[in-house]
Amino acid sequence: METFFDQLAIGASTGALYALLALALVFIFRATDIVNFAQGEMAMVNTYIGWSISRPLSLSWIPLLGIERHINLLTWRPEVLGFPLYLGSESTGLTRIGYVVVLVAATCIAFFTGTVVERVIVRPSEGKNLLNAVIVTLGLFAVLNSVANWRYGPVPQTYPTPFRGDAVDFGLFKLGQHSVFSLIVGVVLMMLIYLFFQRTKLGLAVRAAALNPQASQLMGINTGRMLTLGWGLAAAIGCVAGMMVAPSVSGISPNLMLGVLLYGFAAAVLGGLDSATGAVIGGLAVGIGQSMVVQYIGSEWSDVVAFGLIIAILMLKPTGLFGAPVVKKV
Amino acid sequence: MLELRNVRAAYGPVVALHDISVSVPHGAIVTLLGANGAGKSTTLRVVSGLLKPAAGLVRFEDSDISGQAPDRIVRQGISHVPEGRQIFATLTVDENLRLGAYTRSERPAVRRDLDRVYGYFPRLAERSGQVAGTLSGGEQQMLAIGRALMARPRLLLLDEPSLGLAPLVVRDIFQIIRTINQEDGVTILLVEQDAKLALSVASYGYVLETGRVAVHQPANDLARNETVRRSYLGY
Repeated sequence: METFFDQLAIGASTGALYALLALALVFIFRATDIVNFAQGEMAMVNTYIGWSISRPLSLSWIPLLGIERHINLLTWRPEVLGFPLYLGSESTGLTRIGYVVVLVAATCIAFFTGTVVERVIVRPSEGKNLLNAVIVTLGLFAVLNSVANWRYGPVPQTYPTPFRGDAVDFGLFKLGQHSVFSLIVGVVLMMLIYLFFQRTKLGLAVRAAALNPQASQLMGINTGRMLTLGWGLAAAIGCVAGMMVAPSVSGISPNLMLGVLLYGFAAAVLGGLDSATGAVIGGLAVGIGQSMVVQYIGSEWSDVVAFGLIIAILMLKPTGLFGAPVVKKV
Repeated sequence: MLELRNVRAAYGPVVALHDISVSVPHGAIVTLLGANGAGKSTTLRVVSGLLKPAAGLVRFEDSDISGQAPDRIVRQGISHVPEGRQIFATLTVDENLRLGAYTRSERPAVRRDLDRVYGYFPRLAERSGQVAGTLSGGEQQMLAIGRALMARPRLLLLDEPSLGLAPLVVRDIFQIIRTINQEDGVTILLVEQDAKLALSVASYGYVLETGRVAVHQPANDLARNETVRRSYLGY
């Protein structure tokens, strides 16, 4: 029985990451009707950026441009309100605070790159042929994957986490420290997203722009800016998922997010591609389901289950569990 | 207050407005009449910026707003209640109204206007937490008007407020339109199928025919004009 609860907890922790990626897919789909196939690869590149920020010297600040960095996070001792911050040391790597700082920094960079991707690459194909836009995201997927292969090579690099050591004992189950951390980050981020969309004026405007762009313009909302914001948010959320995934798999590699993207898709389709609640519940269901399959059937079946789930849902209930019935736009 | 001079507009290759000149004086209710496809809604779309004019001039309070983006035009004091209401169906009544005030930042004033709108339409107050798509047609129309008022417009563009509504509801809504105009001093440009009803509240009317102004007269004269009534207004 203990294993069962252990697996449940591990499943919930990876499920939270699938939910994040599914949320990112849902935001973009709701706003633009585009399924962003590049979501995972954008997260992968941002994770590499986070990784290179946190490494001692030798690597560059902006890895793709090759600009040398000037601050080594591991020896940097900034003071905040008079307290020295120990972000890390050369011998032990990042401290927990340092890790969180890197996470926040990479997420901010991801937000910015997401907005740039929308403005520069996606915008020209928006509002025309949907297929064009989808092919643009597929192309972006291929380009980002190749660039990462060229820049970093295909071999996985270890992605150290300060959340290691003994598993935390919750009585009913034990969960590794990094999984506990991922779960907390996932839940906190989902709560922030919820508060942003439900409680702030800007969040309401983003929802309105996705629902009815023309009426939103009449309310004074700059719908183009809302789309850019939506892509930025989606990229940031995806980046958090990537940063959490990297230490829990064999390390960071250009194919880091392929599996996660697949499960994120399964989660989004299960919940309904246009439902945020559906994405969260779908993510948890897929995560827990996967960990049960691995434990009780065999790890070679977990991809089959994910794909099978997508196909079955599309056949039986194409709108997903929480999706709105499809209304053809006139 | 609002002036359109020789405005021309098209949807792709289809010319919808050939040459329209309309003038709306401060504080008035002016109505645009005419058959389907005459260009009434298109005229409103040009004013609110949803459609860029191909030629001609749109002036609002001494500034040229022709071709500006809709989200900038709202900020200058023009609200548009569009054809088909276009409420946010999956958002609540309250959220719809708050979106109406998107351009404004003074919270107490917005709060007061929310109360004012709920005062005009008590049925909306009862349903403030309800999802807008579940409202009846009349309530949705009230919501669309209320939402437009939340921006505190000086000019309100109303497109077919009576469409598809029961006569009693129509009477209520037109009563409110008159109040908005007389008590709040909002100037109104009204597009309406029901010419008789429109002329009963308006002071001036334009009859459009295939993208051109066929006749324009004070509302009383239009209502009495037999030829106009028979050939254009159909009552």
